[in-house]
Amino acid sequence: MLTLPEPTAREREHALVVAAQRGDTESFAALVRLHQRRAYAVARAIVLTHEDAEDAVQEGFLHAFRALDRFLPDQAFGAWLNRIVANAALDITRRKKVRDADALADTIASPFRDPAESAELRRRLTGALSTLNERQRAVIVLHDVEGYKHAEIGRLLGIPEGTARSDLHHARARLRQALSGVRSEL
Amino acid sequence: MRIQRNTPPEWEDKEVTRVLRDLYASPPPNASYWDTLESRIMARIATAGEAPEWWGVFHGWIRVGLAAAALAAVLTGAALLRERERQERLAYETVIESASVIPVAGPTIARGEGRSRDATLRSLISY
Repeated sequence: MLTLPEPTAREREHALVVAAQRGDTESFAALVRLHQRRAYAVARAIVLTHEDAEDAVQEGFLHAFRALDRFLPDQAFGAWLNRIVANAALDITRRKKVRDADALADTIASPFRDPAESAELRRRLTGALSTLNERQRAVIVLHDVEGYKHAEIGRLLGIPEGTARSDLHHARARLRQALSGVRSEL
Repeated sequence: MRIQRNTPPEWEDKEVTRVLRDLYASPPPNASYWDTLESRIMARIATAGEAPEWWGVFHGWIRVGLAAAALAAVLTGAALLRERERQERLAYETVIESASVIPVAGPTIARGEGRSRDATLRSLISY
């Protein structure tokens, strides 16, 4: 008896995209399940708060749903979606420009942090993060936290790879300067 | 906690990344959190599908608008064409009218001069 090989993750995703394009909402929900964590991480790298990241993810999926008929199923759905989510997150940051260091320190802190972490490092780092512009902050978080490469960050944020590289360099220098002279021994 | 000065940059780079990761920690891999987020996303999509966007109001007017724009373009074109023809005709008439008063250029002989020459010739012939 001839057995068909198991479809790969890419093939399954392709099938879901095609079905969603035909109007199958369940297939789109499956795509949401597949990609929402990564989308959240991308949004969280750009906006300042967990709530804004959730808003950006919802906006991003909504835009993606509306633009689904323009998506070519042979492309990588995740990359396309994350670009949309990144744009939604950038829109939110433009609307809510928080420049105040204290406000940033209050909003950026995650409720899931390790309580034993150095408060001094966090205080200094959040202060330094508030001095970066939104693009530099997004670049360093996408690179250091999410592990994106320069070219991928460039595509996500709609900037040249060289700009992403330069932003990362400046952001890192600024944060390093903020931490200089501080060393915690836990 | 002890604070030391002049920390090496390598340590600081690693520390920057470590603290950043902590600050930007994603919600814990709790299935219920992601289930809730998925439900909210799908609810948002469903709500957005029911309530048309503000620009959706104009959707029904697109054909009417296009027809009106096409008609306006045709009328404007016709008016422009008629105006151009009128101006051409006007220019032509101006040229024709001004041409009738233009003096014909060419050698002319004064009337008196010709008569005296004829009289001289007749006088010579009669001799």
